[in-house]
Amino acid sequence: MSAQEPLLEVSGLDVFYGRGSARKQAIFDATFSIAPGEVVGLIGETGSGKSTLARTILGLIKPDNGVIRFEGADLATLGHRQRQLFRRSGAVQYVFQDPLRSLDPDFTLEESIAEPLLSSGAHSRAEVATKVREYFRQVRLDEGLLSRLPGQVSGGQRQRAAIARALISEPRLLILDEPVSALDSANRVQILELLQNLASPSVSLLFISHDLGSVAGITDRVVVLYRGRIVEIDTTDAIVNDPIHPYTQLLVGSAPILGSGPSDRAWRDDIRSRLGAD
Amino acid sequence: MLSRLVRLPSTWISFGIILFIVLLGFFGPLLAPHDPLAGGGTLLAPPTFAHPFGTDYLGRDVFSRILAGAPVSVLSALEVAGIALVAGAIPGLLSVYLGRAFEWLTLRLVDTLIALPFLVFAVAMTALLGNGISQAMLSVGILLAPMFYRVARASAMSVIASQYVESAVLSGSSTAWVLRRHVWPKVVAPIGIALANAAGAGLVIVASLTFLGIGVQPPAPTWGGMLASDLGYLDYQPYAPLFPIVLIVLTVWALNLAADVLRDVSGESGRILLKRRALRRAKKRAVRRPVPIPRES
Repeated sequence: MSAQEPLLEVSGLDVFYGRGSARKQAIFDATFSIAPGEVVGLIGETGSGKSTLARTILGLIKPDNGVIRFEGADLATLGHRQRQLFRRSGAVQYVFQDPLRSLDPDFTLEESIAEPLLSSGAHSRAEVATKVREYFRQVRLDEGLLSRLPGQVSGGQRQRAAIARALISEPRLLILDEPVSALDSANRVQILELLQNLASPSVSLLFISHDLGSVAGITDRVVVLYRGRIVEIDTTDAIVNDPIHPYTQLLVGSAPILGSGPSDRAWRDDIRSRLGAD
Repeated sequence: MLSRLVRLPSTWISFGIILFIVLLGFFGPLLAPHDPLAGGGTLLAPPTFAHPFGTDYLGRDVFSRILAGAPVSVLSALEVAGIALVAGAIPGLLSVYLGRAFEWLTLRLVDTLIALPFLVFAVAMTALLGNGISQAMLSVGILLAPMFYRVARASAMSVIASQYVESAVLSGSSTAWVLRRHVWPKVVAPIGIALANAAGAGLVIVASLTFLGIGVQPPAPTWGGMLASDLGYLDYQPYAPLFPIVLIVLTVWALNLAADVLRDVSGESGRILLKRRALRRAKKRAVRRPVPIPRES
């Protein structure tokens, strides 16, 4: 895998928020890459900069420093028109955390899923309708739900529809921002299974989560983000069994199902105090 | 939204009355049986077959004057709402897209307009531009524009900041597509509501202005003007003000009802409301036709 040209390459990325005295750095010198077909987990607690990093890759936030290369081309320097064309190509797609907010409440699921193809104007309506049904089946949704509005289906079905919408433009990189954190545990398992089946040599996944337990089962590698800094990158096995950075140790120790390390409170408090001293 | 609209009885009532009043505005003068300006009949006569609403203090037929006064009263109210819509809603929508300078300028302008009292501004405008109905309409329309500006801007802003618009942008949708498919359908309902409210307010303001003698000069008939002159003869004809009052109140009520209907059926809340109504109706039916209790055999 390492011999391959990376699909996404992020290097030396700095992102700042605010202006003047309120200016605050959100991402510090982030460097990582994703190979074609690889499933990478981006793990960190709330406020660690996971979503900021994802939004910077998507071009929604302009980085202050650094390079974002996708298949060799620098995304950070694209102009407005070039960026629109790149987005229209569907090469990178994004799945939001809460599908109730990311799907237009007045669009039926069919209209929402078809939108990426229809807005580009490059496909006929009949072609789009066939494709919508194809991807609807792929995410294991019943065709009877096509004419429903997002508010009329369950949380799990909504998230499947949101994934189908992302998949319909046949992306090479799918970024999923906490796709299961708004779901109950039964739906969570089903969505994770679905995502596991999605991973193929042609699609890479960047799976963002605060919960190592929910991504460890499907990721090849894990990037650990702490207070805007990437503190550890390694294979999932190595991260789970032999975490090096204290924060990663804390993450692994806090996950009840993975609890190979000590998980008593005194140990966690000790790690927290060591992290605070950084 | 349209299919939800036609299912409500209030839609038919409100839009029926509005249509009737608008038709009166267009064709009222043609239907007047007498010359609305010709006096000479019995002064302050009670209603008769020849004069269904009686005659006024100059012996003019009140029924004909009501019909002849409809265009000024009704069409000018619609004109007010139209001016307010164009001067308010379009800058309101654009303020979300055209950058900070335009936004700042229009917001300050709107704040200034809100601070001005209605009637004083209208009186000042007629003093400046001359006393005519179009000047009065223009000033009232401009004063109502901030309402449209705020409504259009607020609803466009909430849509633009939503994740589904971001999601559409991320899939490469153009600004025109986002405006047409996501923003416009959500902005049109609140603007429709504001339009109905503005037409109602416009009618009352036009009536108030003509009551004060601003905008239309006597002897031209208007509902507000008739109301003003009727008040001077309450001792002789205590019922006379009722004719223009009923028409003014009916129109304003129908416009407000139409605004309520539009608000109720638009968006997510409308769907919930209609579902609740259907549920209530189903419950009522269930009570009316009780399920027969099976007899024990």
